[in-house]
Amino acid sequence: MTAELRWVLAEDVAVAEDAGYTYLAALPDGPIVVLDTVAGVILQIALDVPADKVTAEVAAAYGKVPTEVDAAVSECLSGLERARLLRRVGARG
Amino acid sequence: MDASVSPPGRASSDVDVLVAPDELGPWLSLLAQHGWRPIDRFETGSSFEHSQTFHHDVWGHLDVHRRVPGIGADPAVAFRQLWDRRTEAVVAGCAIPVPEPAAQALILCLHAARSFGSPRAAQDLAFAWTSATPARQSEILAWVTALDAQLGWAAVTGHLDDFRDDPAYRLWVVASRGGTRLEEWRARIAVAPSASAKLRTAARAVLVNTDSLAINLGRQPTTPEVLAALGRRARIALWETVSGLVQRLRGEGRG
Repeated sequence: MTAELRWVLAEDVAVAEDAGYTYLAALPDGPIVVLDTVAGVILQIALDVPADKVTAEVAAAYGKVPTEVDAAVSECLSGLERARLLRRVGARG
Repeated sequence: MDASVSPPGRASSDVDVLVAPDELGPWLSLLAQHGWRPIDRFETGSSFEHSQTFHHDVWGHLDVHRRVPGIGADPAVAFRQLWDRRTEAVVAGCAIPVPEPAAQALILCLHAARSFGSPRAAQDLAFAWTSATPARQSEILAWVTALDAQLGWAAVTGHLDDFRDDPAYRLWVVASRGGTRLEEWRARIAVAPSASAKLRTAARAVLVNTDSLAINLGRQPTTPEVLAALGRRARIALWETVSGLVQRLRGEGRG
């Protein structure tokens, strides 16, 4: 049994999607963060797979090699983490 | 709102919240703590004095309702009934307690009935009531009885004149059929529950609604601006009085 890290939405975060954009809002005071389509895909994948698989999955989704997307994925997810919209948790795998 | 209540594509620029009367004070304090600024007061928000509007730099506008116009039951009793049969709507991934669909339909219809001249109100009524299934209509009528909403419902169905003796009759006439400012204030004075409340309402009728003026100006009005608005109100009131008298005299001349 090993602990694997996963990305999850922080507590009290509202999520809405509209016209290809994803809106994340920290409740009750905000702010609202707007993600474009690519960032929205990164978020969706990050919520679906273990943290160490996100870059590979995003690369596969866009037909790229992981090294091409790694910086963008890290920047996106760490930005959401700094905004307290996303956090990493350990899960037994 | 539930898809069975609101026409497809109906959008709104604010959020309406109904608060239990005994929780209103703490609620308003909580709003202030989280950056919500009032832009009017219950007394100045509408002729029914039922809601207060707040603004937040992130979230926009919020209308806090202390009661629903048209519901005659005591606000605390009405809130409890709505709460006991509440359901949930998921908004942006968050579960929000909301009235059950037939109660939503009643509230929407009551809102439409007091929105004189609004095309959207006509659409709301057509969708939520006229086109509703017989089963839904029965549920709505059950809510009308449970919440003592007969007067407001009469405005919905065009039978308002059956309630001529009700203190709130004139207010609903103005709200549902239109009327002058003078008629609106007369109606507000008529519905005020006590002699002192009537006096306070009459006094406010003369004064400028500085909340409304601030909204129009986008800032707090200056003293000269308030005085200028007071002059305009006096001229409008005089004009409405004179034209009302003329119409009455013409009517008597014909009769």
